[in-house]
Amino acid sequence: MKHLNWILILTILFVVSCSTEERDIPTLEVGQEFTDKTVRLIEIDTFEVRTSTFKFDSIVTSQGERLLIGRYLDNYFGTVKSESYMELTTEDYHVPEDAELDSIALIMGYDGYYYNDTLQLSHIQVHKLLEDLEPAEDNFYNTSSLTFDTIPLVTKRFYPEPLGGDSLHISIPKSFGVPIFKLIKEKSISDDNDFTEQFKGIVLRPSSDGNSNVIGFTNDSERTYLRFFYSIPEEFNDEDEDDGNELVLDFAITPIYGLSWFNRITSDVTGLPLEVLGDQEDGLSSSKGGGLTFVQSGTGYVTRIEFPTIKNIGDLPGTGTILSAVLEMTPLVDSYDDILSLSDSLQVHVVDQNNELSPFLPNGNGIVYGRFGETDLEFGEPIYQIPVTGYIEQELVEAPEIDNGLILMPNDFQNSIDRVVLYGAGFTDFSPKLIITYAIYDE
Amino acid sequence: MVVGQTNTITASPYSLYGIGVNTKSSIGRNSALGGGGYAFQTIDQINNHNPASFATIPDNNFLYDFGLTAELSSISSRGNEEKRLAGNISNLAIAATTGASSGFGLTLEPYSDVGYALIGVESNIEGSYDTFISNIFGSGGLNDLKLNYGYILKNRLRVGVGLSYIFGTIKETQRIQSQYNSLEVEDKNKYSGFRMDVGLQGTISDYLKFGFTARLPTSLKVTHDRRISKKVSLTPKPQVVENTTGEHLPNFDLPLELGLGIVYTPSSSWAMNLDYSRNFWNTTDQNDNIGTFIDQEIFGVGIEYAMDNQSINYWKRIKFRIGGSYDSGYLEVYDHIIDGYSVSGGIGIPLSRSSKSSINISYGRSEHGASQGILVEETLNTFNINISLVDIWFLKRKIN
Repeated sequence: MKHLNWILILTILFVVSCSTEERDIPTLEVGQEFTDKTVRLIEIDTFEVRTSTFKFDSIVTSQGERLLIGRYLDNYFGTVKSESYMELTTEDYHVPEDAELDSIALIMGYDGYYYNDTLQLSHIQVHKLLEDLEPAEDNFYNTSSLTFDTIPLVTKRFYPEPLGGDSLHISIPKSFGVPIFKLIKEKSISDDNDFTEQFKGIVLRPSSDGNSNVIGFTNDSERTYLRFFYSIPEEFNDEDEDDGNELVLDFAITPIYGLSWFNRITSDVTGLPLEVLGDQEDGLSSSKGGGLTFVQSGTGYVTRIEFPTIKNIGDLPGTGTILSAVLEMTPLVDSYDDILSLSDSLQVHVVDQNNELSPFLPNGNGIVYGRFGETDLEFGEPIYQIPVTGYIEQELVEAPEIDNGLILMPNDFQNSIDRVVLYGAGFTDFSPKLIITYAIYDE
Repeated sequence: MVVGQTNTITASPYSLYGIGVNTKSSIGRNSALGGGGYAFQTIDQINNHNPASFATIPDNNFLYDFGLTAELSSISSRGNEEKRLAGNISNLAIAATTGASSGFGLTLEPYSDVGYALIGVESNIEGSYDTFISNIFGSGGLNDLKLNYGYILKNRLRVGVGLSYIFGTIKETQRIQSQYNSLEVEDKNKYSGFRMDVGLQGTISDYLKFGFTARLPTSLKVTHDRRISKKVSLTPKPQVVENTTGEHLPNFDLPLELGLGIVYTPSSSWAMNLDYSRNFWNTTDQNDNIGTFIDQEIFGVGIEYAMDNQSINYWKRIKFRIGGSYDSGYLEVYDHIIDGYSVSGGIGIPLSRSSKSSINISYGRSEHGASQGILVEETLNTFNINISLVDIWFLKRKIN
C-alpha cells in the first residue's frame, strides 16, 4: 500500500504541473467560411471635415539658427518679406593703439535655405540699428520691430548662391567704423556694454520693391560676422610684409548674451482671401477662401481642421473601436513647383476653440506628422496622410464637447517661410477625407 | 510540421464549436475495445462508463488507474496537410469497495478539448477594396471529476449512480491585423456544472451481461471574461479597449446521453462487447457559429482474448484486444455532418506473475470530417498507455 500512495502523490503533482495554458497550436489555413466569429472591419470616409485658415498673432523668431532675409510676391500669400535684426559683439576689445583701420566687411554664411527664385538679382540693405536690441516682452516675434537708420549704410546687389556658395561678402564703408575703432583703440570701449552703447546693431532688409527670394543665412559666429581689417605700421620693415600683418577684429551674434537677434517676417495680403484674417481667434472658412486653406511658416498661417460629425460613429451597429483614422489632404495642383517647394511633412497639433495651442499631443507619443502616402507619390500626386487616430479617440470620450481642432503647420514654423495651399472642404475630387477603419467586435 | 505539447490534446478545427471536441478518453482497456463498455464490470480494472460497474469491485480491493494519451493528428483541407503531435493525461482514477455489495470510484478525466488555430483568415474591409487578416486561436477544455457509486441490488442486477462536476476554461483569441494596426480579442469562458448519471448492469447468463446508462441532461454555467486591446499608429504599448470579467452568458446545455451495451464471454479466453449510445443534442436546440448540434449515435465493438486468464503462466495472461467504432457526429457544418470511424487494437500486460495489476497499451486510428469544400478532414493516430493497479486492503500476509 505504501508504494501506491507515493504513486498517487507523484501523479497528482504531475497533473498539476501539466496544467499550463499557453502553447503552440498548429497553423492550419482554413477559409473564412469556417467561422463567422471574425471581427468585422468597416472603412468609412463620409464624416464631415471642416477646414479653415487662421493666423497666429505672433510667433517667436529669435530662436533657431537662421537669419531670413528677402522679399517675393506670392500668388496666395501676397508680399512676403523677412528682415533680420541683430546685435554684434566680440570676445576681446583689445586693439593696439597704433593700429590703423583698413576696411570693413559683413560676411554672411549661407545655410542652404531659400524660397522662390534665386536666379533673380537680389538686394540686401544694411542699416544701423538705433535702439537697443531688447524685447518688449520675453521674446522677439515675427511682428517685433525696432527703429533703425532708414538710410542704409550700403545696399548689396547680388545673385544668391544658397547651395553652391559659402558666404556673401558685403563691403561696408570704412567711414562707418572709424569712430568706433578709435574708441576701442583708446580703450573707451572695453566690453560689450561700452560697445553696444555706441553701436546697437544692424538690420538687414530686402529692398522695398524686391521680388526675388528669401535666403537663409546662418547666425553662427564662425560663419557670419562683421569684420574690421586693420594693420599696425612697422617703421623698420619697409620691404614686403604688408599683407603679413593684416589683422582682424570680428563682431558676431553671440547667443550667450540672451536675445541678440530675430527675424521680422511679414506679409501683405491686400486683395487676397487672407486679407480678412485679423485676430488669432478669427478663421477663414475654406468655403470663403476660394475652397482653399493655407499654411505658411514665419508669417503664422495654419490650417484648422474639425470633425463636427465624428460623434455619429456611435450610431454604427454593435460595439466596436476605431482601428485607424487617417486624414487625407491634397495640396493645390500648380501651387507648388521646384522653387516654391512643398514640405514633405506637416506637423499636427491640437488647438482649442480660441485657436490656442493645446498641450495634448494627438497620439501621446511625440509630434504627429502628416506625410505623403507612398502610393500617391508613385502617381505623382502627393497627398498628405495625417494619422489622427489618437485625436479622434480623445474627441470621442470628451464630454462636455469642446470645439477642439487640429492644425497643420510646416516643420520649420519659426525659421522658414515654407507654405502650402491645400484643397479645403467642398472640392469634389480633392476635398479632405477622413478615412476611418472601424472594428466591430460585438454585433 | 510536428509540434509537441501537453495539456490540450486536440488539434481539431472542429473544436471551435461549443465546448470543443469530446475527448472520448477511456480508462484502461476500453480504448482498445471501440471506446465503449457499458456492460463491463469493475473487477481488476476500473470502468468509468457505468456507475453500476463499481458494485462488483472484489471485497477489500483498491483499484488505481492512471493513463496517458498521445495523439498524432493529421489535418487536411483543400489539399493542405498538417501534422501534429500532442499528449495529455487521459485519466486518473481510484476505486474501492465500501462493503461486500457496494463500491465507489473517483475519476478525473478530460471531458472536452479545444485546440485550433485558424491562420490567415482573410476578410474584406467593408467599404473598401482592402482586406485584413485575422488569426483565431482556441485552447483549453473541460474536465470531468466524477464520483461513482455502485450497489448490488440482487444477485444478477446492479445499480449505480454517478455525480460529475464538469469544469474548465476555454480560451479564444482573435488577432486582427490591418496595415500597422491590430486588434486582439481575448475571450475566456469558464464552464461549470454538475451532472447526474444512473446506470444499470445485469447478468443474463454466465456468458452474457448487459449494461445501461443514462447521463442526464444538464446546463453548464458560463462566465465570460473578455479583454480587447489594440495597437494603433505604431504605438509600442497595446491599449485596452474593453476589459470585462464575470459576465454571465447563456448556459451551455449538455444533452441526455443513453448508452446500451452487452458483453459476451463464451469462454474465459474470449470477451466480445457491443455498445450503442445516443446523445440527444437536437433537444438542446443549440448552435454555435456556423455549426449546429445534432443527435449523435455511436456504435462500438470490441473483442478481447487471453489464452488463459487464470494461468500461472505469465505469457498466457496477456490480453489482446481489437475494436472499432462509428460515430455519426454531433455537428453539422454547412449541411455536412462531421461523422467519423475508428479502429483500435491493444494489449494488456500483467505487471507480475501474481498480481492482477496490468499495463494496457493501445493504438487507435480514426478519421472524421471531409476534405471537400471548406471542411477539414482529420486523421488521428492515438496511443494510450494505462497503468491499472490492484491492491488488496487488510490482507495480512501469512508468511512474511
